[in-house]
Amino acid sequence: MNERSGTLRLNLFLRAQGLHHASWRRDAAPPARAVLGIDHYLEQVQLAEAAFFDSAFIADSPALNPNPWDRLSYPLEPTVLLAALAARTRTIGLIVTASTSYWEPFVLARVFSTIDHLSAGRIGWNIVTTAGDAAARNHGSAAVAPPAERYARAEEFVRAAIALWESWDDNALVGDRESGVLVEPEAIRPVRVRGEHLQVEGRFTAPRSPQSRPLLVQAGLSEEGIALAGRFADAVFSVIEHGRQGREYYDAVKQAALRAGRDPESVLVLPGIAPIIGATEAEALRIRDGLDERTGPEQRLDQLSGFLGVDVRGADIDAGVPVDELAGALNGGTTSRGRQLLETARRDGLSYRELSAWFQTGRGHIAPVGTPEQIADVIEHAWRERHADGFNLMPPSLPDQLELFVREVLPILRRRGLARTEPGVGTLRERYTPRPQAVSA
Amino acid sequence: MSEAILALNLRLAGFHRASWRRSSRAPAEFLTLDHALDVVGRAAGYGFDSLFLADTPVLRDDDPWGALTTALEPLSLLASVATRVPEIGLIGTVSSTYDDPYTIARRLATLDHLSGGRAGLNVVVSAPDPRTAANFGRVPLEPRQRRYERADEFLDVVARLWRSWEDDAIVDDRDGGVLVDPARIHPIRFQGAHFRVEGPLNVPRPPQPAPVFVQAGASANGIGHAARWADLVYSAKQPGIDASGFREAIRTAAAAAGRTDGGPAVLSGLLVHLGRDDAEAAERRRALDAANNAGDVGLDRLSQILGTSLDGYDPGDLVARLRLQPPEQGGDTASYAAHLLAEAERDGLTVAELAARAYDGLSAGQWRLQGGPDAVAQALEARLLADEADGFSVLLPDYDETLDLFGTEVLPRLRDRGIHSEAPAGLTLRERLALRRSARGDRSRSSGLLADE
Repeated sequence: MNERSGTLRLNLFLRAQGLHHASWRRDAAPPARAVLGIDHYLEQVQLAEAAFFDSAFIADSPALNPNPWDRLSYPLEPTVLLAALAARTRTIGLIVTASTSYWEPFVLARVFSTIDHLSAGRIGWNIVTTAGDAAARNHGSAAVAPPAERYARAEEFVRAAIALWESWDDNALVGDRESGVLVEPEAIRPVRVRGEHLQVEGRFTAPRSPQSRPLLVQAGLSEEGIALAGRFADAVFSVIEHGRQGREYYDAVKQAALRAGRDPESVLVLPGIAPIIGATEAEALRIRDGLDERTGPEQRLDQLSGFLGVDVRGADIDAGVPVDELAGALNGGTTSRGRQLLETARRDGLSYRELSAWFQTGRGHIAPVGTPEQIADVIEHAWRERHADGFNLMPPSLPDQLELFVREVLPILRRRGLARTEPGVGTLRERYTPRPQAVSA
Repeated sequence: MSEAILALNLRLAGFHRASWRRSSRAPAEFLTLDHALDVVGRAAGYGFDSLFLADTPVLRDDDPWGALTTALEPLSLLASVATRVPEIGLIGTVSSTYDDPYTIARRLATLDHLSGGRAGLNVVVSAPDPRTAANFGRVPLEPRQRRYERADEFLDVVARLWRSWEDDAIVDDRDGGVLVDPARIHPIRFQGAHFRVEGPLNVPRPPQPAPVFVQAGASANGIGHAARWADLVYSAKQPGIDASGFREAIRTAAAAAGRTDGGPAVLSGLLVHLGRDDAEAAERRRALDAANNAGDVGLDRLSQILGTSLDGYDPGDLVARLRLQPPEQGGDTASYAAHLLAEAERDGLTVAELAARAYDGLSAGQWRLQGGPDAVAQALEARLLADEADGFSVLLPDYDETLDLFGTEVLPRLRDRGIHSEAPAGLTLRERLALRRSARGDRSRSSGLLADE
């Protein structure tokens, strides 16, 4: 094993319902309407904060999920939820997804600057370009732009946002009550971004916030996504399986940072992990099977259709997945997640039922099932083998699997010197990137 | 007579241009959660019905003192206080010219869920300002009529998206495996000249059937727009025929638009310089004005308002001795000029002092009061009795002291007069406003309660 020192970064993937599609059907699951109130989220975030997680993260898409069982997955707008959670927590970082395709850079920059001020520097932005026509149709377009175009806009968008956030010099807010000088106008520099996809020219509305710019996160598996991460991201939340693929992705991100002229250590890789934890391995397997059994064949095929991007709802659940046929039907129009599903089906020769079982628990993320020791082993291995600088914990069901992770797995990681034994200090950015970095915007 | 609706405008240390210099907080603290919670918490405790946050997406650097007034984006600020401060309404401003209606509908719906139904939305038709447009890579070319059409569509989209989930769309049938009933969630398929929005919203139906819609703007377009959409309309009219005419115009336009709810409530702007008595009010204002480095800009501003150049006068001259007259043309500026000259005479102001007052950051056209709590309470009641307003959009020069004075001195007097009772807990903002409008101001009953104590 490679020598590594330091501790893992830990992020809680803050989902309204557990990651497993059937988690809401358990008797112990909270009432579905609970996802519309602050307490449901606060309970999870405060648990994570007390366990010294570095951050919690809310994913998002600006359209209703077409799958009926998924329509409460992101039932609240995340920047508003984030601002409310920031006011109810003290140390934990809070990260949300916002789309470069459907926000205006000037508005997004103001929103994040405001919450960074109000949270004393604890927020992060997961930069996404948003696939799918449904979101496009909510924002004036008939169909989503092709990925290359979306990423080209994203690049201009991020440059504009950074330029706005950093346009007030540190000394611009003078605030001298004696002399009556509030701001130094010369220290508020005009921003001028003239891209192919967007233009921003003007002066920003707010003094530099505690982090200057929020922690920047990227989550794409595609080449464009990795390149964007290399240029701008402080962390990536990746969807990788364990093993060779994990190391390849890790290296690809670090290489992308190097190509962009950055220190590879300044981009942290946090794969998603969706562990099912039991007192014994047999109990963990029973928990998983209990969740799986609650999902009927129709729902499984519905789910796969959604993530593959091709309609397989008429298929026989026990038939083998016709990978080539589906890839042909997709005609390159799929997401990186769809490709990952097809590759897994091909590699392991899976039926629809098997592919669905594999996918349900972790949705393609690392999804170990076992005892706390076994889960800790998986984490330590991925860390030592440099597949991961930390983890994005995605509990398959809530709140039980989060509680188990905190109560049973974290103490083991602490004993092994891998997890924090006290809260991180400073802004979210300082926790993720303890050393200063030079990045050109 | 119904009860007065009271909305508190929130802005940094206060609305006076020099409020930050006399604040107990350093300016950087105005951008902190502590400051917001302090002011909003006190306002809610005193019984204000709502907060109101103005906004425009541009740096207000025409005056360096204004440079922080748009630093905090309103909906984010409202979200951060929503679960920390109970009861008070949360009204934020967005731009129909520059904002996206799907995003705003989601953000407001979320605020409504998290606050238990206290969200309000002031949709502003942005002025055709090239600097604001450049922040969005645009040039302001749309004529006024088109900008109002766009605002109309914006509100229509937000209102439809809020209704896109039926109340009982969440089924939560675990045995049957039915989380939501897709048949009770409807796309809106909006196809307008400005917006095309498929929907549905991805937020279940909020506690309120629609956000409380707010509108300001006294133009014909503004009145028509308000009549169709608004629950609250802001008016900057001075007491008198203009104000009652505006109140009536809103009522008539709302009826013509087919509304049967009496139309929007009209909130008069109220800028109040308050003290424990008239003398203290004058003294507190003098101290704030003295901290205001208005300088030459103030003199220029005063010259404009009075319609005559003041270059030839000594800044130390008493205004009352100069026998200045307000401009003969009517309108809001002329009445403001007359108001300023009367104040100068009453308070014995020099030219420099009046210049500082004319440029105190408080918008020129607002209705102003200066005095002790009895005078203020009486003036508010008079406007309600004259049917000029249904309530007040309160702009305080500072929050350090004036907010507490308003809460502890003015509000109890309004209660004594039967025009602002304590609202029951747990209401949505819509319910709270409806209660104010339907409440009967029954003086004998409130006097009776006092006699019992």
